Amino acid sequence: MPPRDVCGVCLSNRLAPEAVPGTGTVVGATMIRRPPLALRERGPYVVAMVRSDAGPFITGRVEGDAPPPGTRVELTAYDGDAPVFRAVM
Amino acid sequence: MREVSIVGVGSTPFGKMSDRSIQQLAIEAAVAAIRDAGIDRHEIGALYLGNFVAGPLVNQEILAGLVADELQLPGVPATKVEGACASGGIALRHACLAVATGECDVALAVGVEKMSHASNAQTTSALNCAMDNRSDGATGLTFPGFFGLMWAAHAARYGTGREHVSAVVRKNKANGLRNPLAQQGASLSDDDIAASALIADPLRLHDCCPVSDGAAAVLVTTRDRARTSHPGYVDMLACVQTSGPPRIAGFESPCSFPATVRAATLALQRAGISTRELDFVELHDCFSIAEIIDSEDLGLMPRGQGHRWALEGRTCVGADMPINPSGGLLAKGHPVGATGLGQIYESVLQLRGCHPNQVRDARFGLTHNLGGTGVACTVSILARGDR
Repeated sequence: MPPRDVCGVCLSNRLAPEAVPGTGTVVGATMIRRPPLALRERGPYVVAMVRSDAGPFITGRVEGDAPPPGTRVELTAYDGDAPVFRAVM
Repeated sequence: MREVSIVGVGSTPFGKMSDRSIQQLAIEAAVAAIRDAGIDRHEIGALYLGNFVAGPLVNQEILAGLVADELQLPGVPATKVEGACASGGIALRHACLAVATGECDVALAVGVEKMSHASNAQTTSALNCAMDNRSDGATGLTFPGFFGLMWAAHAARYGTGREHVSAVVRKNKANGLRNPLAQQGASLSDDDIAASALIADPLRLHDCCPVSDGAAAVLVTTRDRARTSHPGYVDMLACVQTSGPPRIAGFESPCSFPATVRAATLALQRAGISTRELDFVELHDCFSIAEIIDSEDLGLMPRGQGHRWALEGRTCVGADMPINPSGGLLAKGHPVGATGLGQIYESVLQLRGCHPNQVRDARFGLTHNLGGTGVACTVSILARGDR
């Protein structure tokens, strides 16, 4: 995330999207109380760094309160380009 | 390559300076550096200007050319460099390279920013240009938010609590009280810090550097010339620039900036010294938790011990490893493009033995300037000329 523009090995731009599981574990999360201009009306909201089960970190919003590190989450939707996660019990 | 030394430094105070334009701030610092060096300005063969958000916040680019024109340096190459909050450090590296390669004998690096007139949301949006806005930025992440979630991760891994991070705030704010250029020196208690408004949990207002105006400038020349004609010169033992992942997705760990680790390793190698020989460090504490992460990345203490060193007072002036005797970004302020050169200004005063918060017998200092989410970093190692 986001998709790479070229292959990191051969620099080809002929890349195809690949489906990965939408689940992962929260590494760190925060409640943002002073949003930037574009989201001025939306705050406060939670953004988390998630270690996706596919490997890399993904940055996304999380519904509700800031989940503690270690919380399992799943992708529920996209808000524009932003992945939105929900904690799973 | 030729060896390079600093022969002149200048700085405006950092803070809210509504009476001066961005050009006036830059020129004030540049003139002070030229006078400090006592050289004829027509000897300057290159000018590099570090700036980040003059476009969005003051609607002005070509600052390097505007400053060269005021200084009456006709025909001299004048270049703006940008690497988010590391812009000032990058400007210095280019000035050093211009002298080291023989392109010119004297080069000027200036850093400047003007931000305090803008609203909080405007400033936050302008600073967010330092994120990858297709990924991190699109989620509504802000820089306080980024460091807030890094603190959550650091706390989970190492047990870094409010009391550890407050120790950084107390120290830097107290150091700032001794620095006449600082914007926000203060004597704060743990209760004052814990009672300040939440900005991006767990970060509170006192954990965040203020929004600042200001400029700093550094004049460099060859070491041979510095030695013969410039008493009080300071040697640049290393000035290293690295890049790192421009987005969280590229991180290896949520508790470390690879660009800092790499820059510090290379700089110490080039300088031929170890961290034990450093008398002080001026590092990029844009947020309180950043000082703990940076100090571990720089190798000033073992990984995972940064918060303990802070709480035990081991990073105060007079202790094991003085960090940010100037007050750092937290207290001195963070006029983004000027910050990296402001750190050099403070370090040169330390090495000349005339800093208002002097580290005793300082011979070696390190500065660390970090941009964006760790996308750009510079680490410089400075040494007293007559060491």
